[in-house]
Amino acid sequence: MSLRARLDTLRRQAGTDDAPERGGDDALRERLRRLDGGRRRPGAAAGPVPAADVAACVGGEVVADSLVRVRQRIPLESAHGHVALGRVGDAVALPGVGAFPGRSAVFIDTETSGLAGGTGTVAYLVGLARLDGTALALEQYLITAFAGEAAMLAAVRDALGGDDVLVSYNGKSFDAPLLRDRFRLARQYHPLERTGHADLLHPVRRLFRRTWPDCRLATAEARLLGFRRDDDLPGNQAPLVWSELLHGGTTERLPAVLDHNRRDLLSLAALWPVLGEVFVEPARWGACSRAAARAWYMSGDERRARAVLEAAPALDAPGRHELARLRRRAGDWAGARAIWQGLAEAGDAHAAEALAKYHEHVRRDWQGALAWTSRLPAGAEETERRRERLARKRGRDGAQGDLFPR
Amino acid sequence: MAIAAAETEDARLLDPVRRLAGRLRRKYSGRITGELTIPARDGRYADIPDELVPDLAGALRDRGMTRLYSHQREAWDQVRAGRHTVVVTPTASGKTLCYNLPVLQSALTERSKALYLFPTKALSQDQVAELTELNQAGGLGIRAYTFDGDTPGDARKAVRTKGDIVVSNPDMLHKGVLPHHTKWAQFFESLKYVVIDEMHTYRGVFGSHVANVIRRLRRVCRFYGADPVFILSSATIANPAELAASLVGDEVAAITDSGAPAGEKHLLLWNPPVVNADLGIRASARSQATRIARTAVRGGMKTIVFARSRLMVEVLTKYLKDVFDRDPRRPARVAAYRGGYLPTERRGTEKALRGGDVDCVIATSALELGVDIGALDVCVLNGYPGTIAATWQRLGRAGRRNRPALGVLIASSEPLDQYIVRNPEFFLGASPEHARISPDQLLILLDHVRCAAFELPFRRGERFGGEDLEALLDYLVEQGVLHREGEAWHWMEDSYPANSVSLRAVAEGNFVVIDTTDGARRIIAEVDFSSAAETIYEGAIYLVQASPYQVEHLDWTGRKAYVRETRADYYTDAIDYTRLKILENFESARAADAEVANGEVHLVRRIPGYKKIRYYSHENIGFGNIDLPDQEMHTTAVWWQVEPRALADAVPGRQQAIDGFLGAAYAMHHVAALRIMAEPNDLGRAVGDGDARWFATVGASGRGSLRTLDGGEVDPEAERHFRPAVFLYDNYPGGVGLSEPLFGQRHAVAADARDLVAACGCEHGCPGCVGPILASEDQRGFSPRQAALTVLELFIGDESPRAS
Repeated sequence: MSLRARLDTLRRQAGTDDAPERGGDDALRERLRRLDGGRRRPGAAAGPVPAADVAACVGGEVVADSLVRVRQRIPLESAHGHVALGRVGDAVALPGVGAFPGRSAVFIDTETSGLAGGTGTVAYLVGLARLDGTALALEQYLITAFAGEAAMLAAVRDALGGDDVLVSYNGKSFDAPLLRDRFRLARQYHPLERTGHADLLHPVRRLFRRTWPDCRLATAEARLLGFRRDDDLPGNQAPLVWSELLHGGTTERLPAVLDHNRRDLLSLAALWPVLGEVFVEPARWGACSRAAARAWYMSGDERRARAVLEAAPALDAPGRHELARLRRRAGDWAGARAIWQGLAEAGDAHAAEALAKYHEHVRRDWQGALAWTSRLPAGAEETERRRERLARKRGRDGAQGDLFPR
Repeated sequence: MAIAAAETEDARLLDPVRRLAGRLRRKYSGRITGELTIPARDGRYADIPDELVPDLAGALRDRGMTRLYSHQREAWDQVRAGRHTVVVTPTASGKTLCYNLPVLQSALTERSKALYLFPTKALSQDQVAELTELNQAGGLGIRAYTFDGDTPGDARKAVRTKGDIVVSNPDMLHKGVLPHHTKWAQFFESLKYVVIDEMHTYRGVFGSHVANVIRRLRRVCRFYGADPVFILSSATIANPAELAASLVGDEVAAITDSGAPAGEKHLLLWNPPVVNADLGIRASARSQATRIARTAVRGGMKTIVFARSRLMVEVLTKYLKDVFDRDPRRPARVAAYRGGYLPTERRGTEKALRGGDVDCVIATSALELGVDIGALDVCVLNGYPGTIAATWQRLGRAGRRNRPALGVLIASSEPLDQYIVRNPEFFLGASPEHARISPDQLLILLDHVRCAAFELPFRRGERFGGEDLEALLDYLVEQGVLHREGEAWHWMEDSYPANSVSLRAVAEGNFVVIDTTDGARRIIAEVDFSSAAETIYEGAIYLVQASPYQVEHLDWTGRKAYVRETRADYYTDAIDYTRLKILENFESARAADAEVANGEVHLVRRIPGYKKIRYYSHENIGFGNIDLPDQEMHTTAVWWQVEPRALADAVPGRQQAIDGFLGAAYAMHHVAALRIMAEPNDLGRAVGDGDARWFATVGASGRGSLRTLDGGEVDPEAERHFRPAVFLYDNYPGGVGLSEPLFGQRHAVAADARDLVAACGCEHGCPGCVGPILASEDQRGFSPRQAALTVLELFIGDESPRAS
């Protein structure tokens, strides 16, 4: 029996009318409901909200079909939390991130239809901000329907110059790949491949991973910028607002999403100069000194790395090793030795080994080297070799020692 | 000349496989119910195509190949002409070259890409190893990578952008590739070939899902301007071109004539001897399999034994190791191979087999697929594998090019096995089964419309599947999953739909079994949603590797069962109440006094309790209650009914009728699974009134009784219209298209069942025909077997019923 016939039979049982085109759909829907069971959400979709209404609601203008732009200039005299925005322009280089790009910095944050990722996720709001004279200039692009996406992507592309560097929070893993996917889906050339990108989540995570409960932007804002969002729309609500706009035809919570996005952008801007301070004085900010020192060291600045560790109030064993290493590299053998001594006396084998090497190769004190070697766990091939070598050297010099007593 | 002939005759007799076959025939003629000898076949060859890139031709020559088998050349010609092609050839006939040649050629000449899909990860690894070998032989510089759940995160980008050939599986394509297709843009843009190996495994629910994944794949390819050619390969089934066409959604050319040479093959169907004639009990298949394998290995023949369960693999391995591997200082001659072993261990066994270092391997169907283990001499099947196609595939493991091979199919006491060995012409004469899928099964289709909408918005006028796409899309709009805007439907939900769609199981998700012995929490097994209620209820004894575990807690919503090791001397058996209501009759047919129909049913299953049954004595030593939600399902079914008057005339008393219907249902269930190439689990059976008032079940007394879903008993004599029906239903919500072919075979199903019951050697009924009956059943005054026969004769409706 054909499917059509089955549908017709079902339709008859359901008592629907006999118009074949419409009836087939109803019967199919009926079958789906029976099989699919209870997952249905009530309510039919409302009609689309005109872009002009959305623009009025969020204080923007319609710049293309279903695309609203909101522009805002935040004077640099104002503050975000306790950070004066005027400091943004003077921000310093962050180790592991690079120099502050100045006017080429484009702070970016998106709000999306979902957090799951994949091609079904759309960015419906893209916020961009950059330093412009005496203000931070914000541009937010909001689509009011899928039809506006192509124009929005084009606008984002046009807003990005060749030398621009994106500054984001977790944007390397989330916003940038998402936008790249959207450009591909819209069959548009995408500018993100060649644009530089500084993701501030990475330094924050490096510095505070061990001390903070999490490294979300809200946490960083509260602890570093003195900024609290009490009336803010939680970030995970953004997908719902998109669904409310499309499905429910309501714009009620849209201004809150734009506010949320604007605060994210301001936080990004304010975060850079503060992170600059944290890297110099991590202890004062409750950051991990060793991580800060490591970042300086990796970026080639050993002096800063050492200074950070010297200033650290309480270093753990790996931190002290690191400091000893830096002192040794700077030629401060006495300083290095002092650290190793302390560690080795507390039973640290690596420190004992460092001391053995130090006594053997720097001091050429075989007896001292042997003494430290004897504290090393026996059996390791390298230790045994060192012990034999030292014994040999001592034997040789010992014979000489009889001739030339010290 | 005479001398030469004598020499040939000597060689014939000296061949150990022929000698073994002859000896078994002479000594155990009573156990051999059927046999077949397939003569040796010479190879047919064709030239290597002229246009083949010199490097590639060189790589072939380096491996000693100066010409191709005819089917390899035919595949080349079809594929090069841009036609989707399926190659159906026996095991070890060089099928991989059928797709590797065109793929490598295009990769070398046009830098085109190819996607290989294998049903399992193990096969993917094999394939990559083989490609690498060929690649190295010719210095071709082709990069083949696997992309599956084990591919490390940092390697994935390289696979996406650098791989010429990406080897994966349908699940990974479904969850990991298609929903992220933008990352694969480069790959899809130059995708020229999609290879689908082991196509015959894509049938039933799994196949229906995979067909939809392929619909999605082709849709994404179109987005990138690609239209790849599909090359499929399959073991022998009846309808390769049809299955390939429904998987690919396009016409597919079929190549079914193998040009590879094959040695002579002997096949024996073997029924273990009856050891208790009263109860119809036969010696175990296991004892026979062990004996034959032992003889073969002693005679110097490389032997493979296939068992149907992992447990049986372990048991047989132990028995054979006890004989051949008693000295632990010597390398093992016997090895086991099954799922659940670590991949490295399996690779080791495969290598030992290829190298001839192992004399006997005991395996599950895991070795049925194209894992390369070299050729063997003797194949023993411990139990019928369930389908003719799978049987031939396993038998194909034995047989070297120019030497005879022997296969022995040993029947277990299960009805299907008994049917096969007692009706050898069914197996020996029949073509293999049709493999069917139903990609438009509404729930499956809807799942993939969801996934496809996530991947790319649907546009008006687009096609996807055979149902009314717009109606499906509108349904999803209504659910708030999609948003319709002008001519397009966009994804709008905050979710990743592929994660909630499993290709291999029913929609609801599997249960894991967690061992909490000694405070540990170790996952030891996984159980299908559909069988969870009857296997892992609280109190159930759950067996893993023959060790009993007791279920202490079942977390139904969390899909977890917590078990603990136990020493129980009993096993548990769930009591199953199934109530069916006929919703709609699609079509029906009459045969004399019987009516057979195909239609939609609503069924409710309740598992109210379980029995504890002692090992060996099989006595019932207690009951337990089970408190689980009812399972409801709309599905399709075929049912058989008899005119009440005719039934009353033919069967004295309604009690007999009930027992007759239950026995008939038992036999029909098994032969039906055989007829439509389904696992017995894919079909359910029930006896009831079709109106959901009562159903029949075998009660504690061993007699059939009528009950309501609440367990209340119904007196059959008090029923005004006594019209019981046997239902065979499609055990999947919405049905996966099993009942339509079943209806088409309605006569064969009843007739096969009658033959099975009539030919059974037992007196009143046994597990081999109408189901287990207790010995005391002799006292009920009639033979349940006879009652079932009478009912089956009524179903068949022949003018002249067989005397029995």
